[in-house]
Amino acid sequence: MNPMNPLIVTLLVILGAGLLLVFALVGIYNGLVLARNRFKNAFAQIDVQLKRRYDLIPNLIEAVKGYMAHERETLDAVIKARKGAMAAEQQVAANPSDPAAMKELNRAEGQLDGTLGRLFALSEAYPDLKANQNMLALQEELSTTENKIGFARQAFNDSVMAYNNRREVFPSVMVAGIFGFTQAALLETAEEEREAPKVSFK
Amino acid sequence: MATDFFQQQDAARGKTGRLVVYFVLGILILIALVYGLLLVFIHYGGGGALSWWRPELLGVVAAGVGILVGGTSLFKVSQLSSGGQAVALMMDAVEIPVTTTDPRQKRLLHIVEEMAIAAGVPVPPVYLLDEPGINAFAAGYAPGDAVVAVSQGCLDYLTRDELQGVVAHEFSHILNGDMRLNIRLIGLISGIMVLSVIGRVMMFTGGRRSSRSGGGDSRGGNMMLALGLFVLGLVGAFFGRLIQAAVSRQREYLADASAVQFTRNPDGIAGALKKIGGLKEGSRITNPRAAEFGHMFIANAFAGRGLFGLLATHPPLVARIRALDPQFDSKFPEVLQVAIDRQEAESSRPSGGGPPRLPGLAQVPLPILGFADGAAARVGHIDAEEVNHAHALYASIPDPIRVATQEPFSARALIYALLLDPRAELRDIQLAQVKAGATPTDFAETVRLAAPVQALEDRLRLPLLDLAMPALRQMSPGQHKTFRSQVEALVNADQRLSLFEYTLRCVLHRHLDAQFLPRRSMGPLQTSAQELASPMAKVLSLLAWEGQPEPEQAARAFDTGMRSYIGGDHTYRLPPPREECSLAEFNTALQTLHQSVPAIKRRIVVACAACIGANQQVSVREAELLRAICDMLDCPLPPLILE
Repeated sequence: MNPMNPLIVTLLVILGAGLLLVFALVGIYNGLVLARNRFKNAFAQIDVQLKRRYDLIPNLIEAVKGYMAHERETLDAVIKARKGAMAAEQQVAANPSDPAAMKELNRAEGQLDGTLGRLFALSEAYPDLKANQNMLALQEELSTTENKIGFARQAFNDSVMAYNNRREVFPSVMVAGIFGFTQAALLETAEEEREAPKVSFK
Repeated sequence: MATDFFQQQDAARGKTGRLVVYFVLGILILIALVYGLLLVFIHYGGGGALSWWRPELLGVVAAGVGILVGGTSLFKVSQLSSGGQAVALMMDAVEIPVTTTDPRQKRLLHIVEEMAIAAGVPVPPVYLLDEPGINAFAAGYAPGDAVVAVSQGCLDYLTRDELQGVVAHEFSHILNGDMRLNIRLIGLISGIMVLSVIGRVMMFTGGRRSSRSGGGDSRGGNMMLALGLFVLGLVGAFFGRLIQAAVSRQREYLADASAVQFTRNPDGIAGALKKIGGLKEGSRITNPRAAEFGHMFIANAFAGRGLFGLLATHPPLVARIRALDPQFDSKFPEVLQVAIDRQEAESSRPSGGGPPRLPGLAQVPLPILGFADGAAARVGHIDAEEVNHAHALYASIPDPIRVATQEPFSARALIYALLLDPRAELRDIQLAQVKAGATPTDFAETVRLAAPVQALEDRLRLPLLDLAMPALRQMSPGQHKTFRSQVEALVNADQRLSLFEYTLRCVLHRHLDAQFLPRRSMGPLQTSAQELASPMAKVLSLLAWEGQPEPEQAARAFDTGMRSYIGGDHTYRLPPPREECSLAEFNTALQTLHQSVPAIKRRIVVACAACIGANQQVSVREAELLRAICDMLDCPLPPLILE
């Protein structure tokens, strides 16, 4: 036998093993990038609906203002909460993988839901308002938008979860650590929203 | 250019076959060269007399190179085969939400939707690349999982006609089977490149280690081996790129020509190419991840550097423009941002399009003599007529329904409503099913959409399914699972579901499963028409019963179809009675037929069309059924413009 052969064979084996390792690393890295881009992409879908809701609120305020003039405080709270939520939404849209921004959005959205809920609860006391066509249309529109947000949020959270899970398992966790794939936060339903009366005027 | 879809597909497959031959040749040459290199290395390293024949060394080299190159190629191909979405997401592209409010994005979506309806394929997801240059690409493995991505520059600088030209160019890649070819090309190149990467790594590490240990003979030898591998890899990649460029450039000319054919407007794509020439950023793509996807783009994604100008993935711009516009004087225009007319973006009307052709003008010759061949000739083919027709179709979809296709929450309810059977007693069973299985909000939405959907013309149903596809793909895998079981429950509510509704369900599953479920391994490719006669008979018998309830007439329709398929006498005298034709069998049969080569698919399409047209009349429902069947076979058939 040629004395070079064992050396070359060893070399080849090392080469093969190295190749497999590289494949595995590339595969893991690509998988992480893919999962991260996937949930970022999913946020773009909610984003449109959130904006739609923010756009509807001034119309709502306009519609109820005439009837609920002495509920100024509640109206102002809604306006303020909307502003806060919009600012938070912009932060998250810029980088959906930033957990701090997402927490802020969760908080701001919770506040908005809470104030809106209060507004609707109060409006129950105004029979004229309840019969107002404009108001009914707006409420219908808002609740449809909320349904859409709910479904899109579920999809978003699923993909965030998929990313986080992928990130945490071995050996991905090592690659994730090296390349800075950080844990992403969920877009959660605030408690207030669950309690918020589903705008029904029957 | 006059060749039909099936020939194009065959050509693309033929090219792939030739690629494999080149590839194997390339590997053999590489093995020989590495072998030679190692011989010299051994000799140089004092390994004794130079002997040219060392079988065991050759064996080891062959194994090593084969594993390396083949392994890398397979790895790459398998990565890219996970669908167009994966490719787009890898390049940091962001999907444009169907509900977008940005007028430029909206305009792009309208163009893509029209083109997809015109071609009879599901609307692909549209991605935006955050790049200032003008460029675009299509990716995916089959028309069903394709994506289209365009750069921000496209939106900023191109007029509607030019953008339509670019989108048409990408659709040509989708319909001509170029994407699969592209994926294999990428795999091939990276396989060969791996040798040079290893050479480079060896030079680096080898150089470092030996500088510490003082070096000497072995250092020189190692360096030489590394350098040799590096150079070999580069030479291999050079030839790989040559093959790639040769294949890819031809396909680009073809796609340009098809873009003109699809839009009947040479100024669109030519104008876009001119603007690429005139723009400072040109068609440059700055994202480094785009490097290996170079030839997927519409124009060179990277500046031609010295030698690599030779290896450009695309023909020179001027040559491409001249092919479309012979008067072109090589002077590129100055490029300015285009203003967008909000009105136009909202209404989705093209600026210069003529009046849409009315569905009353028969395009398929009737009576039906030419119907079967006509249908086959139109597969995978778009022309301006069809884009206009798609326009008209799109415009005739009532607003509440169109809005419902735009996001997943209502799109699901829309699908439930679409699957409701026209017969009232069946529909009630189905609605009860939805009520039991879905959330109250989903049920309310379904009921809300049920009435307008029921009033919908049959010719709008399949386009509607295609339109809803991007929104449905937005679901998470978990949501899709629920959705899928809901759909199954709807279909199984009563086994007597009509063939048309059942086929809609099949089309839906085929496209969505491609994204959500792991890819099923493809069975062996069928090349024998005889062996497929039995599934063909299953499909034809249901088609025959669908068109006519009378047994004699059904038998005649079945016979016509079967004769057309076999090309003469056949042993399947009569279709089995209606009650014995199960819908599930129909689906299985179609899936078997899907595994056939393009030439056979053509015969299948012709036979189905012949069976449908046997009684000298084609109803809209039958025509749409034919389209759905074609879709199941991956042969997109544009909406038939019938009386």
